[in-house]
Amino acid sequence: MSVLRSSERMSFRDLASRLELSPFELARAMGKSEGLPSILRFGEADVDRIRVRVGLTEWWPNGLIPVEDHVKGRALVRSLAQKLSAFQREGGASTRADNLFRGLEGEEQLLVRRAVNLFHQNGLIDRLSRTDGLYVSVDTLQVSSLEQIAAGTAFPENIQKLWA
Amino acid sequence: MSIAPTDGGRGGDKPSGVNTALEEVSRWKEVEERRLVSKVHEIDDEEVRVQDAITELQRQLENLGAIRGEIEVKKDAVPREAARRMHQAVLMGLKDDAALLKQCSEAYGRALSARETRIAAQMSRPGVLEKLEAVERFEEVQEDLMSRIPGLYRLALIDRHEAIKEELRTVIDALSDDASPIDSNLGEVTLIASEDVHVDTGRVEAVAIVLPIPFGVSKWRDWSEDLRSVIAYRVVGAISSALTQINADNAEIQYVSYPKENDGLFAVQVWLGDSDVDGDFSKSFETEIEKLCDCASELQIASINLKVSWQHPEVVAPGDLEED
Repeated sequence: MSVLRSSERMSFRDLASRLELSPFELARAMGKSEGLPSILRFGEADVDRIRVRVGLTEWWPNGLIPVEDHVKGRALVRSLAQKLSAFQREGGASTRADNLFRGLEGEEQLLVRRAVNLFHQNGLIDRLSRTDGLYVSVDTLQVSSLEQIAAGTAFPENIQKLWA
Repeated sequence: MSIAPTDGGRGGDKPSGVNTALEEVSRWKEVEERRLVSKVHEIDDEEVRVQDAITELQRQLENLGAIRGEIEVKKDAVPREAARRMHQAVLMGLKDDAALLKQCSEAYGRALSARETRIAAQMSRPGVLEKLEAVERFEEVQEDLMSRIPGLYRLALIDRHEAIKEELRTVIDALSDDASPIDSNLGEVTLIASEDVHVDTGRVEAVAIVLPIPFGVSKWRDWSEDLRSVIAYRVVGAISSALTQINADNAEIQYVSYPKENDGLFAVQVWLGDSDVDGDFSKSFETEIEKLCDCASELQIASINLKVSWQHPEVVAPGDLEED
């Protein structure tokens, strides 16, 4: 390690905050992948490297909502359904549940969190518990239902309450 | 015919031999009967004494039986009592370790602050950061650069580089040095672990690991990051790593207070019952703990060694045991 790196101040908790994880979630994720380094001080270069290493992906880069809909909540739900069906079609097996709302903040993130729960209640996604946290996967049979939601043609009743 | 007396007329004074013999028999009979009656009385007396003795012995036997019963009950209770005492010993040991670790954590914090102060003092000197960046950038490209410039310039550049490094020597030393080791007076910190084994299958269903660290570390937003929280992160990382090695990366992990009161210690519960386990968690976990003891800088600075003590679940969490 370079000597300049030794002056870096980011603690393990700071790193976890940057990755929007609790330090315990980060410890579990790093324990599962590369392990915790001998010195728990981190620099900027570590943030992105560890983000990739522990499987964090931003499903909403820059907070962009891909589906246009004049009702904000519905736009978010349709976009989420679109992203999930695309994820399944592209061969994605499972992803961390918290990835599903990464990139969003405030009320938008809260709404998508609730939508993820309702998608699970309606059997559109499966939840898998892993050592490093909760994961979700999409069943092939649910892709058409997700596509209908993404197209705005059919919504489960309880999901419509999100923007009612 | 008449029979004449043989003693001249005085024969009536002398008993006949038959009578004498009969009297003798009669006397013998009386004596013998008295003797035997006496014997019978002696035997009666002896029988009474023996009967009393039997009664006494019987009573003693019954007493012994009762004492045996009490001892058996006590003997049967020994494992449970031993578990109770071991539980108390575990609680006491964890409490002592937790108190020492708290002191150690404070000393560790002071050592880190001292290092930060040393570095800040060095880095605040004008131009230091720029020169350090230049030195490091040069070292990154040195090999490639040297191969492309003439020897004279090469030597001049290297001389200049070395001169700047020498000028920065105190800064580089401050950055390279870790925090000064502290005298923790602790040495070894014990993690108490236990495995619950399924009675029929013999498979480990659950694992619990208790750290001598307050449960408060789990509420990380309210807890200032210190040596104890860092140890907690590292142990959680070690558990995660061990689970991955035994194909149990779907195991549920929970953080709980031990004992169950809110101000207890930080414990990690792992449910393996739903995992297709392939390996021995205890071995993998101990290996991970050894690895982190060898490399974790904060443990080296604090001169702490972590040790895992495996205990029977009854010792760690006695069923209906009342706390003293």
